[in-house]
Amino acid sequence: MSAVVESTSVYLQDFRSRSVDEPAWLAERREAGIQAFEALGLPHRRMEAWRNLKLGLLGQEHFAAADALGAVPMALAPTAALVPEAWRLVFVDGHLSPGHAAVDALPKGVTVRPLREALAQDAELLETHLGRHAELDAHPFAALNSAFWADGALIDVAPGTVLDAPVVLVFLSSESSAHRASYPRVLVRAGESAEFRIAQIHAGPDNLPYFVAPVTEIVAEANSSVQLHHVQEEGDSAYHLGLVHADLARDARLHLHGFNDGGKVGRTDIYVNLAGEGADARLDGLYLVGDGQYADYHTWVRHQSGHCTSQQLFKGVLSGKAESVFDGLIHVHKGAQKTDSQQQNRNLLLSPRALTHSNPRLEIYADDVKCAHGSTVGELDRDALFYLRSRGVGENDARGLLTFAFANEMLQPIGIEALRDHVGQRLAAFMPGDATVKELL
Amino acid sequence: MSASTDTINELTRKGYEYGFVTDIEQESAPPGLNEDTVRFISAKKEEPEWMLEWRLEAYRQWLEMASPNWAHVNYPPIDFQSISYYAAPKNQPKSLDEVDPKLLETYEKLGIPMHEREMLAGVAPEGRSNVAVDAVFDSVSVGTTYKDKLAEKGIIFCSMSEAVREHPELVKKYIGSVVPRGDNFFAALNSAVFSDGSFVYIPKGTRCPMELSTYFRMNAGHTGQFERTLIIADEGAYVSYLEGCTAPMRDENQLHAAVVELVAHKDAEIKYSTVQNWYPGDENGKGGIFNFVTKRGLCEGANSKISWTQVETGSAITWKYPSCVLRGDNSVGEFYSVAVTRGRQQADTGTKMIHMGKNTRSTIISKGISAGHGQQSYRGLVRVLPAASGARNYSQCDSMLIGDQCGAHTFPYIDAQHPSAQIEHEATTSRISEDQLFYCMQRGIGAEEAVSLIVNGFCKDVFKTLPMEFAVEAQKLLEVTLEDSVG
Repeated sequence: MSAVVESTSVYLQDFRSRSVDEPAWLAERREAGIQAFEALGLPHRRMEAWRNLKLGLLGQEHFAAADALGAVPMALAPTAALVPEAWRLVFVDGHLSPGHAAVDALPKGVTVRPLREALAQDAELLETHLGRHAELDAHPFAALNSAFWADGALIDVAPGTVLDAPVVLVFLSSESSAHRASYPRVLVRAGESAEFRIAQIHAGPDNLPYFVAPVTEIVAEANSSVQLHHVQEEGDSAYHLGLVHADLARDARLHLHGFNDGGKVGRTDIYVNLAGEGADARLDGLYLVGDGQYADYHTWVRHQSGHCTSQQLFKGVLSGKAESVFDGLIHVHKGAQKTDSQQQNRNLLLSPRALTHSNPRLEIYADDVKCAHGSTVGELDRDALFYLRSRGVGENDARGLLTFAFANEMLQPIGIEALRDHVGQRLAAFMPGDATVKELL
Repeated sequence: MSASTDTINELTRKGYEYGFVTDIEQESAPPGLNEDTVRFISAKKEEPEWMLEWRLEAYRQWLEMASPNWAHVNYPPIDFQSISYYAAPKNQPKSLDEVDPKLLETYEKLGIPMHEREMLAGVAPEGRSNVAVDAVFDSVSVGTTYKDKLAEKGIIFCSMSEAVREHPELVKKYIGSVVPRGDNFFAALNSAVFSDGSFVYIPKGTRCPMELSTYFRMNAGHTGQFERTLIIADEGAYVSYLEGCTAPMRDENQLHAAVVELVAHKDAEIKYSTVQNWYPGDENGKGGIFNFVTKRGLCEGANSKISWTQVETGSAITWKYPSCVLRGDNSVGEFYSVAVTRGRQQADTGTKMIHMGKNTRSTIISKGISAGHGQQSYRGLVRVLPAASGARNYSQCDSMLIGDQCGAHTFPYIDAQHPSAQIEHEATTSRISEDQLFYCMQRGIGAEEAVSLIVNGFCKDVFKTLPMEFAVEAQKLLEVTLEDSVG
């Protein structure tokens, strides 16, 4: 316990020793963040929502916030340029990399801007929304983000505006980010009837222990439609513990697609509040967990109004000594009648040492609702394997083909083609089988 | 569609027909809990020294523990010092014939046959046959029927206190082997102060010729009931055991913290059925029993089977998870549950299936019905350990909501660590649709009957696993419970 107490005070000391000149409202919210962290401390086994997480290095060492812009690692240059035809902001170690930015020629009424700049230019919008949505009382790392964020992005789309090209936010960690933390922060506001797609991509170098705790807040006003592709491909020694929060007004639609393929410890909490009637949330996720990795999706879908719909489908593939968690909640508030909510979790275990936890939860306080959830865990179908082998497909290739068949369903909903291809390649690299089979796919 | 408050109120008042108090001379321990209380109980039961030591060790463990708060239930903190931990009728009978007629009358009133001779002659008042009963009244067992007949087959069926005295080697070997003393807060409390319960031992290769049953009755006020039941089925044995419970209507909350342990050896099968009908409290949630119970079965040997069936209609708060530890290869665990919450009742119930052996299988069917202001949660764990190749689980939890003030929640936990494990979990939440009601009523079935029909259909998967008499009783109970709640 003493280590936890110490590391808590280390972060508080960091906070107190900063010298910043910021508006009073922001200083207040940062203070609230560090206070929330102090109250929670680092998570431990006896915190229900965090019981399976093994903090490892993060619990033993002090990850101080990275204070300077690092260089984009060579190997990650293609990641920084993913989805060529997009508006783009690239951040390295939590700081804006001006050389990679491509936000010219934005349509009228559309803002894509680093938060640092936005503090001066969109002060009112930030004061209204930034830090007003994400909940800090259950997520110590989101609390740290609120206290320490250095930069991030503001995406603001005026009412009635439809963007045909996506907005891509890339958050990279550099080779010099060892034992450093970065806290990317994103605020998205969709005006009434606005429609657009976002890709939020996190990546970093292998063999380097670093820590990333991103927080994304989405405010979707009436009848707007937001697609967020949340891609986590951190390096194999990284800790990624993030949060996405969306507030949906009447008839607003959110499609969030998560892809988790990196990090030693990767966890994303997704909070969706369906606050207006007719709102619709669709959450999809695919986690590919290799040897020694830990992947975790927690969802908290709250039906606060009647006539809302939500669907969740999360699929996981585990190999080696991998561990995964899916913990999803559907909470139907009192009076939220005519709710229609679905939740599915499917896990494929490829190895005898893989461990999966699945907790699909329902909390229902209204009677005229349709809610269902399901969860399955299993291995590849032996009959299907036999069928393929009896037709001359080698065992490894057959396993690869069947794994692809299982996971492919989760590639289809990706609404940005270049990103879909990219995720497809990551999947091909993960699954068993040799290159000739993978080329067929 | 929502139930009218008036009728629900009326119902909660009239719906509990077992709420009478038996006026009988009783003696009880003064309220409070300390080592002396534990010594007092142990002395009352004339227990050997090792049993007392065991209790004291449990008590010391309990002192170090904190009351758990993770369940989805709300209740005021329990003052463990205001409870009396022992209450018993003053005249302790030596045999069934000497039992106070008032007590026999009580059980007669509850529909529990205590007269062996009448039963044998085929003039059983309630039409039940071939059920051996152990009747537990507050902290003691007042009588066990058919003991001799069962003894002929080598079956031991007696109260726990008697077993501690008569069969110490068996008790010593098995007590705490499935639910250790320090397992959880209430199990530790029970281990320290447990009063009576049933002890069953079925010898090798024996099929128990009749249903065994225990009837628990809480009578005295300001007391808790801490029963302890231990059932052992040796190799190839079979036993079906039933448990029923009721309590008087009182304004206070009474604690019932039981521990039930089952051990099934190789090829043995234990079927454990419960119809729980403790007093649920009045319409404002005043009074009622806190039913915080630890029940666990160990499938010790290969090919063994443990099956739990429960119908939970009573108690202000039900908090229990009858579980199976599937250690033997090819062992089978089953859990069938119907839980009803109405008025201000709360239930957080479910099961745990721990797959340890190869090719172990488990089935979970849980049906929850929530009406009025009832809050109901299914909480279950399916864990597959690395050695459990070929493990198979199927879980289905359905909830039915009646009225818009109630809640139904599902919290399944699935931890799987073997690729050949196959685990499926499904849950749905629904209400009685107007179409269903309309269909029935259009064919001349009254609204009330229609609801009863639909609810019974909803629960059928579970009722069909109950022994005959219990199934009938459970259906009736459900009808009474839900009468007038839809219309």
